[in-house]
Amino acid sequence: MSERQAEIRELAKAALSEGRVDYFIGWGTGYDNSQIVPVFVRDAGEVDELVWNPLAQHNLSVYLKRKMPESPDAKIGVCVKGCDSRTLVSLLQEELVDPEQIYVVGVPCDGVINRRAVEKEFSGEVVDILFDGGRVTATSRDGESKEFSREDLLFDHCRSCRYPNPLYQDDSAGDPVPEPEGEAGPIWESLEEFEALSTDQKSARLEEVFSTCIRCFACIHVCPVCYCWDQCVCRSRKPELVSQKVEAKENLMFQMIHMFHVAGRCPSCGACDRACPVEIPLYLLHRKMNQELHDMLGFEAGVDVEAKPALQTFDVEDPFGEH
Amino acid sequence: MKFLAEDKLQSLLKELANAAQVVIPARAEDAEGMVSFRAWEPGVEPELDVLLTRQSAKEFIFKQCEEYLTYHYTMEGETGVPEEEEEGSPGEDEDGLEEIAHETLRVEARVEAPPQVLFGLRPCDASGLVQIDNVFSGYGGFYFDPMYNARREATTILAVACAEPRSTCFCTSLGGSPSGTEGVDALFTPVEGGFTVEALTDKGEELVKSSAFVDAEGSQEEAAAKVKEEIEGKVDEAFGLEGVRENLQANFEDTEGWDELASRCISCGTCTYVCPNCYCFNITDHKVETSGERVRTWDNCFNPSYTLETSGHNPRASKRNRFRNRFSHKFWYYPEKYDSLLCSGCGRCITHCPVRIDLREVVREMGSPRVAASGEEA
Amino acid sequence: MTEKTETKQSGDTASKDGDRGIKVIGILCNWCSYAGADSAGTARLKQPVDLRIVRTPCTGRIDPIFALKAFEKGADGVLVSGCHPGDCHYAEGNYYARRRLELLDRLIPHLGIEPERFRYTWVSASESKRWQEVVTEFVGKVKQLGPRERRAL
Repeated sequence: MSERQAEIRELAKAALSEGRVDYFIGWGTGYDNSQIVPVFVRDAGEVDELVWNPLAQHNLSVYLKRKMPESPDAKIGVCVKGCDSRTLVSLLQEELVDPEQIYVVGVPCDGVINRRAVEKEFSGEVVDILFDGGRVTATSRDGESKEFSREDLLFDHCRSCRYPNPLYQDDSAGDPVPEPEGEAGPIWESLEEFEALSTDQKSARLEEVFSTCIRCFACIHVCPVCYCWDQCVCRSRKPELVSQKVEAKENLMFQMIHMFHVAGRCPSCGACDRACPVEIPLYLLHRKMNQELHDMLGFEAGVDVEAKPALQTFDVEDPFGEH
Repeated sequence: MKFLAEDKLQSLLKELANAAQVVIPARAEDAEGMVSFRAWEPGVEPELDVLLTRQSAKEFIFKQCEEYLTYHYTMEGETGVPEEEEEGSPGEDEDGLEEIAHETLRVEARVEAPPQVLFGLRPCDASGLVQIDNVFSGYGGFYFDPMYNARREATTILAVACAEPRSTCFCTSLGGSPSGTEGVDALFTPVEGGFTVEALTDKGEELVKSSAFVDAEGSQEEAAAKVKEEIEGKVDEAFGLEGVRENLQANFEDTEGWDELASRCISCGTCTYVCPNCYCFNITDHKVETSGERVRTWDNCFNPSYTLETSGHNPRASKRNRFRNRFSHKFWYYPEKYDSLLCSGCGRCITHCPVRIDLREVVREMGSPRVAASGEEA
Repeated sequence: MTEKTETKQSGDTASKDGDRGIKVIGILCNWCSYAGADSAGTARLKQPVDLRIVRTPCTGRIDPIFALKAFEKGADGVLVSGCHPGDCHYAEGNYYARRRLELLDRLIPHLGIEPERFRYTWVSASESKRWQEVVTEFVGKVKQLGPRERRAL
C-alpha cells in the first residue's frame, strides 16, 4: 500500500511540475489520523499530502462533473479506484468531461473499509487508525485500542467488486491487483432479506427507512453522475414532482427520481451510501436497479468508454415488452 | 443542588411522560445503533455514553417541516361556513379595489405546541437554541414567530454536562462550556451513582420538585464541581476569537484563499441540517385544487438555488461564494446583528461532512490576517 | 402518512355511496394509443370507466417517474401504452421508452407495489378492439386487488 502511495505522489509531482495539471485531486489526512479526506494539491512541493490507504473511500470523479471544476478550462489531475473510474467512464460516455483536460491516475484497489463500522465498536471517539498488512488497529481518544481484520471491515460492495483495477486511466499507480476469479458479470451481494419481504412489508420498510431522511442532498451532491443541480426536476415548482415537505413519501419520490435519472450511469460505487449522515440504505434501490439493468441487457454502467449509457440508447431488437 | 440516582432515571422519565412527550438520545434498532433523539418509551435507556447524537435537537422546536397555515377557497353558494365567519368577504378591500365577488378565502393558522421534555441534550445543543431564539423571539424588535415560540414555551430542556469531549469539540473557544447553562432549564452533571442536578429556571425548579430527586450531599456537589473543572481543560482550543469578524471582512475578496478551503466541499447542506444553530428556512404553498397549506421547511445556504432570484440572477452561483457565506454568517453577519456567535462548537458539521470540511480550519485561516496573494513567494 | 381504505370488490362503476372506487391512470401516446382509445370510444366498445387517460406526444416522453408520481398521488393502477415498436410516429421514441418502462416494470414490485398494478403495452390507432381488451383485463386485475394502501409511495 505504501508503494502505491509513493507512486501516486510521484505521478502527481510530475504532472504538477510539468504543468500538465493545474491541480491534482487525491486523498489525504483530515483532522486526525483516522480521517481521510479528498485533497487538492496545487504545488509539486505539496504532494506529500497525498495518502493511500483503505480509508480512501471517496469517489473523486465527483469533482469533474458539471459546475465542480474550479474553472471551465482547468486541467485537472485525479486519482480513481476501479469503482470511481466507472463513474468517470459514464461521464466520458456522455461527453461531459473532456479527456484532454483531465489526467487520470488509476489506483488498483484491494477494497475500502467502513469507518463507521469501526466507530461503532467504541463508545469514545476514534482518533487513530493504522494499517499493517491485513490488520487494522483503531485507537480512541481515551486510549482504548482494538484490532480488527481488514477483511471483516470491508464495505459490502468491495467484497463483491468485479473491477478492482480502473477501467480508464492515463497512468497507473503501481501494478494491477489480481482480477476476481469466477463467473463474469457483477455479483450482487444479496438484497435477499429485503426481497424476501412481501409487497406490503417492502412498502412499510421503505416508508420507515425514508422517514429518517433529512433531505440534506449529500447523496445527490456526492454522486458523480448527478449533475443537473439547480436545473434538477426536483426543484421545479411548476410542475411540482417533489414538494418542500420533508416526509417519507416526498423523500422516497425524490430518491426514485434520482435513481431513475442515473440509471444506466450508476455503477453502484456506494458513494451515496457512505455520504448519508443518517445511514439510509440507498443500496436497496441502486443495487436492485443495476441488477435489473444487467438482467435486461447484460449492461454494466461505466465499463466501456465507447459505449453509451443503456437508457440513452436502444436496440431495435430489444426483447422486452409485449409483442 | 439535587441528586438523581441512576436507577431513578427511568421512573423520572416515566413521571415526565405523564404530562409531556419525552425525548431522549437513544440507539436506533436498525442503522446499526446510530444514536439520535427519539421519543422515550418505557424501558428505553438514554444513551449518554456516546457524546453527541447524529443531529441536534432543534427539530423539536424549529420543526424541519411545519405546516402552519391551511387555506381554502370557496365559491359563493357553497355550503359550509356562515358568511360572517369567513374572512375576505366580497366587497371592497382596503385599497378600494373591488374583490372578486364569487370567491372567498378561509385561512386557518395551525400551531402545534404539545408539552415536551428534551432530556440528554448537551450544553452546545441548548446554546444553539438560544441563538435561534434570537432570530425568532423578537430580539431587537425584529421578528416574533408564534409557532416557534409556542413550542419553545412548551419545551423543557434538561441538559447533561459532558464528561469527555471529542477532538472535534470546541465550545470553549467560543465562550461556551461542556457544563454550560445557556438555554438550559436544569443541568445534570454525571457523578458516581447518578447525576447532580441544578435547576436554573422556573421550569427547572418545577422539575426538581419530583420525588425522584433528593438533596445532593456535599461530596456529590464536590464531585460535580470537579467533573466540570476537569473537562474544561480537556477541550482543545481551536482558535482565538479576537479579530475574526474584522479579518473575515478583510479577507472577503481573497477568492483564491476561499477556493482552497472550499475545494473539496460538495455543496450538499449536511452541515446546516445537523447544526444546532442554523435556522434558514423556506416557505412554500402547496395547493391542490381549492385548498392548500403553507409550509415552512429548513433551507440550506449550500443549495445552488439558495439565492436564486425570480429574474434568474443568482448572486451566489459559485460554490465558493456559498461556502464563504456560511462561515461569514456564523462569525460576522449574525454577530453584528445579534451580538453573539452562530456556532456552539459542537463539531457535528466536521464529523458529518462527507468530506470533513473543518470549520475550525476555515475560521483559523480566514479569521486571521492573510498575506495578499501578490505578496507571496511563488 | 398512511391512508387506510377498505378492499373493495365492486362492479365497474367508479364510486357509489362514498366508497372510494379504484382509480387507474393511463398514460398514452397521442398518435397510436390515444387514437386507438378514441376509436374504441367511437365504436362504443364497452370498457370499465375507472381509467383516466393522460395524453403524451410519445411514450418516449414518459419518464418512469410519472408512473410513480401517479401511484404516490393515489392511483391504484397505471397503464402505459404507445405505438408498436417500429411504428413510432417519431421513429424512435418508443424504443427508448421500451427500455425505461421495462426497468420500471421490474422495479415496481421492489418498491412495494403489486406488479399487477402496472403494465406497459403497445396499442395502435386501429386496434380499438384490442384496446377494449387491454383495459378490461387490466382494470379487472386492479379491481381484484382493490384500492391500494398508500405508504411512502
